[in-house]
Amino acid sequence: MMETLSGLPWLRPALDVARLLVFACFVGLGIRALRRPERRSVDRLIAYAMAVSLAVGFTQVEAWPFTNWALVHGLAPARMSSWEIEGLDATGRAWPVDARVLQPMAPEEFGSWMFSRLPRLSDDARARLGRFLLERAEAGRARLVAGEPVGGNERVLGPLAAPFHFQQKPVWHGPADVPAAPFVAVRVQVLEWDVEARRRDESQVTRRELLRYPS
Amino acid sequence: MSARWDTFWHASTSSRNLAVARVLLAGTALWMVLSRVDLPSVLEFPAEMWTGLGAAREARFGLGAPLVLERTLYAALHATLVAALFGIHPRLSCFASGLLLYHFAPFETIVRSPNPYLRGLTIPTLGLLILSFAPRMERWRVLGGTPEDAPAWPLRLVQLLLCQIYFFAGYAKLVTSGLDWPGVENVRRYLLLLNQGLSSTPAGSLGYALADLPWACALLGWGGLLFELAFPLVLFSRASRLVLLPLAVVFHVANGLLFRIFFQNVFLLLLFVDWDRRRSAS
Repeated sequence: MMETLSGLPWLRPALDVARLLVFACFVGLGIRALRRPERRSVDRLIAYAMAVSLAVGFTQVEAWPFTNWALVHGLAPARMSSWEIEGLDATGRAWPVDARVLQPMAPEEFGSWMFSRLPRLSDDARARLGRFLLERAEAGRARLVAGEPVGGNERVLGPLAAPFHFQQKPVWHGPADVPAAPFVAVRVQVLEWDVEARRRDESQVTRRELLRYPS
Repeated sequence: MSARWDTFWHASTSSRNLAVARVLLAGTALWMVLSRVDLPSVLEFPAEMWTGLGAAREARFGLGAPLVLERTLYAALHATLVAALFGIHPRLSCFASGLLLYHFAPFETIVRSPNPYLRGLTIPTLGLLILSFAPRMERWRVLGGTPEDAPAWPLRLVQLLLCQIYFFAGYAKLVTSGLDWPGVENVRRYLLLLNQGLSSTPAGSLGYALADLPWACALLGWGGLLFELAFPLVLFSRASRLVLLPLAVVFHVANGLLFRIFFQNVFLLLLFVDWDRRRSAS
């Protein structure tokens, strides 16, 4: 059913417009309740917000900012995949790159986009993405060496900045974690593992190159 | 039914509770935007990342403006949130903040999804708009002055939306995975894979340590699920607040330590505290 619906090219834009109207109606009812603060106007606003938020919750179909609040709700898979960026120095040595170089974007957002779209990108588009990652990695390396925060999110609040929803541990802790000279290349690797096998042996992770720049 | 509706929605509360709600919502949103410095800069990411949006989705969130305009609007969002925080032109600042948050919150996830929930800005977006629709909000004071009776419905509505975070998180687990979700095997696997995916040294993590204890996995699974489904009781009973609000703090601390999941709206639990108990029945 969902597969059939997702194949309809007009459905997604129509739903986006409908969701905009849902939000606009909420704001409109709120303004009406403010201008005519009698009980009936307020009740309409309350009933509408309740109806929309409960409908979204029970159907699990979002109309953000009314949303479904699902999180880690599926059964955990036996096999997992993830990704990492590696910077290469002039000697060819690979250095793990801290995902904070992508801030303000969260690593899981970038990773989800990359897994779903990278295989369909043209060679030119892959090169543009690779160049972008190399520039980000190098800028992050330079900031770390200079003693500045690696990512942009901590620039104002420092360690009091709100973390992302999924808390990824930092890869870079100090200048020893990066080369003294600039990165000259970058590659993205897919990491795959069996959850229980990795529990027994941390090295049980297979790596596959997804992108390299310059290729 | 009508009487219960009126008792729940049209009771009065202290204006101080509403003022504190404004501070909590604006403060949470400000904390988030100050922690996402230059969020509009995601527009500088490679164009390929933005090609899948489509005109309708751009229209839905008002996307497509030049970066310089987005940065100006993002600066304006900071200003409106500071004004909302301190009660400066509160109606205008809350309303403008709500609309600007509606525009900017999707920047966090839009390349993947137009549904940026659990990024900290969903409840502030709705909550600040709801407060801006309330009568006499110019007279709400956190400190100073004598609190007065005010309609409770704006606070109740925000509280209801906050409860839905917990309830629908539990509901989604049940409808998607059934009673296998809280089972030992599933919780153990989540403990392992989230630490493997998010930690550079998973073997030393607390999640790994608990994954080998079946009773602990069962407690986390069943206890967490029951807590999520029961949380809306805080809307109806002071006694349940005394139990469930501290439990919520424990729940989020455990999620952070064991599953590496951080909940940016944890301070909004203070919305359920009565800040003027002498006057208020809420």
